[in-house]
Amino acid sequence: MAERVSRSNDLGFGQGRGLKILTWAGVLFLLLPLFILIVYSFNDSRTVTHWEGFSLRWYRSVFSDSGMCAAIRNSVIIALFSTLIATALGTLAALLLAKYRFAGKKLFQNLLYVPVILPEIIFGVALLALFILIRFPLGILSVICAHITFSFPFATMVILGKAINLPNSLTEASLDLGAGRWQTFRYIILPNLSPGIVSGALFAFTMSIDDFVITFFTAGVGASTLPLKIYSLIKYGITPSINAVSTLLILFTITALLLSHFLQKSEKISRPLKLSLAGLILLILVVLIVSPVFTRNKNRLNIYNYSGYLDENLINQFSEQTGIKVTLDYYNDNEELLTRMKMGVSGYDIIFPSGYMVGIMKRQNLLAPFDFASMPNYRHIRPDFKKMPFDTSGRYYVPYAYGFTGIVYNSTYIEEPVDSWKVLWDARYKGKILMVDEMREVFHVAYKMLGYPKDTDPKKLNNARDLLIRQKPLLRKYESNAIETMMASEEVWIAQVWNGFIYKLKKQDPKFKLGYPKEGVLFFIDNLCIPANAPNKENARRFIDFLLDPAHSAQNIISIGYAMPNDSARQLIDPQLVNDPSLFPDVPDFSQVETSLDLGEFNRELTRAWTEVKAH
Amino acid sequence: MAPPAFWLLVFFLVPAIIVVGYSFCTPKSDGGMSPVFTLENYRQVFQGLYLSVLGKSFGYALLTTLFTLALAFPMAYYMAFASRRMKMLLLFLIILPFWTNFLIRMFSIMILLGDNGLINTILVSTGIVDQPVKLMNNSLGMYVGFVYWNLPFMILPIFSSLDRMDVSLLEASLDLGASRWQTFLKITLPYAVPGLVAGIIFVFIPTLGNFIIPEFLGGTQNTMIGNLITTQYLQARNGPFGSALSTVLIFVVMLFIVLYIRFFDPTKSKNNIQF
Repeated sequence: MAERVSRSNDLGFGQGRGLKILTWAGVLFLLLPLFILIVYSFNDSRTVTHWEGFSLRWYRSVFSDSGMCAAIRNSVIIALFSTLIATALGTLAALLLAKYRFAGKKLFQNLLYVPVILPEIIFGVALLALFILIRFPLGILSVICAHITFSFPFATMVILGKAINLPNSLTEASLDLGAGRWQTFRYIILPNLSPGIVSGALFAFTMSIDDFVITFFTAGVGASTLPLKIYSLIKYGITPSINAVSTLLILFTITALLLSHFLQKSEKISRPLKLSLAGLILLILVVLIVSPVFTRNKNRLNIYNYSGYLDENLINQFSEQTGIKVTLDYYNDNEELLTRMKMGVSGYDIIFPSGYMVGIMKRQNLLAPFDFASMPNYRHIRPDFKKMPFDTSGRYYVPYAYGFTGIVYNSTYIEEPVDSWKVLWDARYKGKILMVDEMREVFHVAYKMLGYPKDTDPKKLNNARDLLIRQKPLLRKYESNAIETMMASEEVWIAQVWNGFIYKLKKQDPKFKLGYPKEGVLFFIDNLCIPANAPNKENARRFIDFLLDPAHSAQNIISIGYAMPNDSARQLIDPQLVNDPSLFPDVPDFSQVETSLDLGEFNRELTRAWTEVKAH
Repeated sequence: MAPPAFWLLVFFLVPAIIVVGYSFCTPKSDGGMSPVFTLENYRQVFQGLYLSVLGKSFGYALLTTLFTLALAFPMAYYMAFASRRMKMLLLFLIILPFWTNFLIRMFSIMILLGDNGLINTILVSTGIVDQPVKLMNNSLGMYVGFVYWNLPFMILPIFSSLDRMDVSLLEASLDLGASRWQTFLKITLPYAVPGLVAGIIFVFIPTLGNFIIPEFLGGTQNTMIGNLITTQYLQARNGPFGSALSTVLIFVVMLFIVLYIRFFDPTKSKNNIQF
């Protein structure tokens, strides 16, 4: 080897200066972003990219985040179990392919290669379809099965490399000398394959720990893994704690890589070391299993909500008072909520559907009725909100918060006051405009721009669609979550948003202003509902009653930036805030304002039009 | 042979068949599907708009593969001729991001390219530009993300092919009067082919199906087939249409795999993946 290299150097191959610079530039390109992450994880600032001095606060916030710890634990459990089984299956498959001839071998082999390069999304969708069809509950077990499926073909390939090189004479000699099949496997095949098996297992483990897409489709409540948690941190509210988590993961990777390098290099690993390694893995497994992931803890509450739509201090307070452990997962919009509910195995106890969605869910028997007799704080709810048109019985929802979708703009760049949706089509602000990622909201604006009433005329729908397609080149993004960050960083100057964002941004900096379009705005009322199949209905009822307490409700209003129909709470709030239209819109009679409606069969047409807008 | 084959059957083949089956079902307006045979979903897929998304995705994946290749090949070539110590070091550095969580890598790219990101901060503070340049939420950001994600997948197989090259062949070629360029074309390149093909497949196919990078780094125009499929399943609740899109994607991928196995049987070549 050494000789070969020196000879190649003599010939001057691959020695060009340009080549060298390019290679190191490539390596720098690969490493620089990671390096930046590590540096900024020690940054004492709330914004991700502005340096304000050294601090370890984000590490503290990672370790004090119980959701994060649960995600890490889930990830490790899933990775260990799936690695164990995937490696066993992989070893078997590799031996079969290397040493035996059997009918369908070619087919089996080709089938093995498909998962290796199939786009993950297909895998995720297909497994989801299977789990729903056989009504297999989405949770840790479904994720483990999914992970085994995509990692064992990889393990097979890695092990196959070693199995092919295993000479048949060895096994034949062993069998000739009177060893049984099991003895031959245990004392001849396994030791010879072990470097391959170790690499295969390592590969399977890393793939499992790293996987996002397939887990995204197959995980249910309580099975949130670290990648899912990271995704939700990126999507639903970037804080520098992502940097801290990332740094920890990078350190872990470096350690694991060096360790595996060392293990593979030393041909003969001493027996005690091997035993203690096996013991260590076993210990981790036992500790994790004993910890309350698998035990069905009665005292739980699983909330499924928008991000930033519930004061987290209230959750902590509730947990302390009652001993109930609360998990919080996020969804993007009403449609996604309905999809997850319809999978029938969601496991959530409280959801936050908008009015029209309450109607749809109630019709499909997805909601459990309330018993208000045991909820003393329900009396604080304004009477006109108690029996809304979407549920005239008033038994399937508790009104949560209401508001409207308006415009927020940065008055540094947009000097004239904004009073029309037209500004969102203004070419002067190209690339600085944002729309929410919600089809009903977006189409509402297009209908208002065209002066259409709300009806189910397909021609009007297509015109609205075309108007939105014309707007697309001007948009920075359709985005429902990171609006605050993107406005604050001036990535966008003007945005269609829900009023809570406007309230929060105005509080941050008076340069942000509310634009109230004269063409009309869309109001919403979001509600607290309990799914029909919720596992912890009693806890859900207790938590909702806790939220309706006037003091808690007032605290919640200030925290999330949306008004609630709770008059006792309103009296506890600073009158100046009560008069702020971006917090408390002036709505004398909520049943008279325009809200999203359930359009029945027309829903499908609307979805089609929205998909077409997105696809353009 | 039973357990691995059984596992593949239950958790891979059967789900794939279910998806294909769904793609011929009729969607119901409440989001379910009725088992009434229809070709309507496919008619929809092959109507202009969605076909253009498919075409766009192909274009993105193709360009990504080319960009990645242009950067990866020289790097792999340099590594193959480097000293043993240097080889190990470079391998380690290249594998490092490869083993770092995908979403974290994408997030780190977002930090780099954002309006307040490192590049724009430097550009603005040195006075090269006075307004931040838009580096992400457009095609540029998407391509940077794709190339960053794929680069190790391309470098490693090419390197592994080139590293097996017998240098005495190069020597002989030069001795016998061939030019360096001829030597590259006649000896080095043929040696690199298995790695090149593997790398191209490892880059092209996952890129084709990716939906995260267009979402986080791309702009409103950069919708890919993966985004469409996700939307159909999670938002539009049109499972049959999502399944039809998936089925088309499955067939495209299968075509590639069949071609690959036909021309480069992985069990016969000495290029099994080894780490």
